[in-house]
Amino acid sequence: MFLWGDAFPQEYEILSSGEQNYRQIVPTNITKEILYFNGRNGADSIQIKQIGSIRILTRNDIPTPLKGILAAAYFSMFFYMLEAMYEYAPFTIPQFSGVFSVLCLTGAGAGILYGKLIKSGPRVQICYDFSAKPLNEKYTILKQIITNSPQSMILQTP
Amino acid sequence: MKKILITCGITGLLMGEIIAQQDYIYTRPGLFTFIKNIPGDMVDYSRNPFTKKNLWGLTAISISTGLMIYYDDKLLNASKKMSDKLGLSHQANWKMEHIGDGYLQLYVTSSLIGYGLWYNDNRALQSASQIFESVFAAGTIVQLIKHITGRESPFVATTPTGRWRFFPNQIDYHRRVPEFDAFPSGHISSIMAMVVVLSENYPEYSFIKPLGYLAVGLNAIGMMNTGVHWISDYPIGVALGYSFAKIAVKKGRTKKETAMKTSPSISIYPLFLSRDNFGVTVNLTL
Repeated sequence: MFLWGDAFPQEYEILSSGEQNYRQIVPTNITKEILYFNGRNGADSIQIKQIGSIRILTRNDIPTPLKGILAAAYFSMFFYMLEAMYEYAPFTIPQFSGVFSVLCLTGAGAGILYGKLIKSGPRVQICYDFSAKPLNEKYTILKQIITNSPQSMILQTP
Repeated sequence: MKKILITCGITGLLMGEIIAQQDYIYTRPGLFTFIKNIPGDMVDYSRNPFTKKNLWGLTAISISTGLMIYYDDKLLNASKKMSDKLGLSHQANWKMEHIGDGYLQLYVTSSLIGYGLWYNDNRALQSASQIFESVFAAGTIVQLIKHITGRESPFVATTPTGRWRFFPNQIDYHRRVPEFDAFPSGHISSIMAMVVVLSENYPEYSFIKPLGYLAVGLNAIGMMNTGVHWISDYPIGVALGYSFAKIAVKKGRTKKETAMKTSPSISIYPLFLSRDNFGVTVNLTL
């Protein structure tokens, strides 16, 4: 179950001038003036000078031993269902439809449940308010935030 | 000591999750995207093996399959002996066999779909679509080869390494499937495809590859012990699953343009953690 875990532990949200709520984005490209991203409604872009602040959200994941237990439960459930169903093998077409539906529904339910579990933990939030900064500086900060290569490191002094 | 090493290994695998950034852009796949992509995948696959880059792979598969066919009966006996020695019950082998029969793929894919739809996660949805795509594409080629080669499965074998009836009567094939459908293994190709898709799309989970390939190995041994397949049925099955998964993954995502392209830089700027906390962030990008 922990194969798909929390897809990306970091999420980005931006607040543009004139808006009251942050919106979630997946940055795709940045130029000196425009930030391109995938939003809720697909591909979109925004002028950098319009961005007031950016929030980086990091989720605290569930503990690894718990993930291990969930993984074991997930696969045990699969084999339990398989063994129970194979008692009736070979399947007729209606029986096969039943097997297909049970596996699909249980699998989907497990995926949703797992998502709920990993998203239930507390979230750490880092906010950069750069509404008053010049365009050049905004661009530099944004680029560093969204590029965020694995070699990049952020040292924080609270 | 052995137990400690195994425990450390497993813990290491489980702890192997890093905070990875999304280097690829995943768009939401359509309901039937995986079916629409299959013909194109077949065309890509037919071009791939005969390129200079893949010549070594093709040669290795051919030689290993040939050698395995020669020693099939001995290797089958060795596997059964090993199973007895390890105390694997028939039920354990049956479970290992069913790792690759498609039900596990359906179950895992349903979970990815459930998660992806519920939480609007395109990577999960793309992974599900790619698993379906590669399993069906590889499965089509597997079935085609099975219907041409007509090799007996071990549990109905009439010769030590199973009789081959090339271009069998298709009516006989469907009446007595195990007498014709051993070569190559569709089970192996489907579990291989799933492992490759997941490991490619979730590279930050370092345990997927070792755990996945362990599942492939268990599936292979399980099928030999239950008499469903010979060991020589596997190399082509593995190659098909691997290749179609790679093709599906390549089609299902786009590399992010900005990723990893910055020049080395260092910057220092203020950080507002909350209303009462203030700090300084030093960012070093190499």
